[in-house]
Amino acid sequence: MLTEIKPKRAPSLPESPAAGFPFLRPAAAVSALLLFGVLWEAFRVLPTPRASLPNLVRETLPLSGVANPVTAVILNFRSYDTLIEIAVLLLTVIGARAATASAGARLSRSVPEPFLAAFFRLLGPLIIVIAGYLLWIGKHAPGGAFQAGSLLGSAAILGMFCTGWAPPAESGCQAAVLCLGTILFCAVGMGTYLAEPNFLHYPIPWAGTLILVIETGCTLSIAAALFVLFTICRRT
Amino acid sequence: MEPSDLYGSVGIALFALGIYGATALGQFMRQVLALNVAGTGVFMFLIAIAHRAGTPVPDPVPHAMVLTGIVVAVSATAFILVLIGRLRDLSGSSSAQDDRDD
Amino acid sequence: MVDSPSFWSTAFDGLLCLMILLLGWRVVFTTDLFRAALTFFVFGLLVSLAWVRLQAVDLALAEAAIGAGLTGALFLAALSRLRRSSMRGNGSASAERDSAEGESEKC
Repeated sequence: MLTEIKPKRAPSLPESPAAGFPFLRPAAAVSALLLFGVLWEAFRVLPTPRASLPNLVRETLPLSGVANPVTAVILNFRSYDTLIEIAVLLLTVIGARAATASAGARLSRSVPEPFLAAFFRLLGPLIIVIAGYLLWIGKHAPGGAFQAGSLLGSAAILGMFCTGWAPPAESGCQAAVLCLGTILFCAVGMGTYLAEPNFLHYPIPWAGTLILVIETGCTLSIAAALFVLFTICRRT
Repeated sequence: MEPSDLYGSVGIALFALGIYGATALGQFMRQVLALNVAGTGVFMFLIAIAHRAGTPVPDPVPHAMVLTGIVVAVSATAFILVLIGRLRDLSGSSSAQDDRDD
Repeated sequence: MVDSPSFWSTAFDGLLCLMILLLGWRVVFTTDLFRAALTFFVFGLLVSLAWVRLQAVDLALAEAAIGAGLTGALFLAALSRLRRSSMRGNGSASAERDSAEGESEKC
């Protein structure tokens, strides 16, 4: 089926602007050195910061619902940026899937060794528990949704290699989990928009709970998105 | 020397190295690798700036920005790798010029 | 305010930065793509240690999982896919192109 798509003669790629430019390497090297010099000089003469934002964060930390300043900044003070980021991750999955929709190839099933399957049977639940711990501890200590989600995604990839389980190309369950983070985030935002006249402005007694709800959705969504991106990259 | 000065300089050096690789190399995969190195350099520079803020706890706003940046960088890398694979499928070549031994 | 760093911490920082620079150089300038992807993986792990040194522990966790692990795995998966597509397309596309180049050189 691939030979139908492939043209008879390989089409010429659009020439990069520097194709055939004989002095590309030295010119790029000189430019990179100049860039390094300029940036280093700028870094050297940087004035000592007046530290206004960290003080602001430290003062309003008790009102944010969590005790970890990074989590507070990500999910409370700059929660709109995190919403956009989760949406960008979803868009990447959509785009990657659209780019391979016509390839029509399936994931090759590898026959796993029984040792690997037994190893994953021990390790898999442990990784899930550690991911849940990272998600929960994000309120007091370093942790949070991104770390837990990436750990879960890596566990799914490891499980795919160890047990030979190949996911179907598309399924409703997969789409639901992928969209869960964005939808939950937007739902909380709309809820706060209707309750108070501000989007994603958590009421202070509810802030911790709302943050945990959003983080759970984002964890599952990030794990699914990373896993799907990996399977798309690997598809023959 | 403060650790933040050292790591800031290393970040700038990685950025320059990655920019050189992204412009001078021919194969797309190597350009993507170089761009990732440049991105890591930018993150290191940002966190070095956050560390030298002088407060007992480092500035959490650049930490949040870099955390977002890491996730967006990996998703952009995954997307461009998919595109490289499709380009290779459709046209049989995966470098800007047709040099195999770049 | 942080007190001035001790000799051992500065030595550790210097060694870590040296290794990060060396591995970054190797990532950009290795010709073998497989080796470059693996070096990028180790580079990401050392950068994760650098985050710990800069008191950014959340970032260390995220970088070790996503920045090093997942990006390295993505590169290796894409490389294996490129190799498979080049092995399969050996009979058609590259042979066409080689013959086309041969013809243009003759003319």
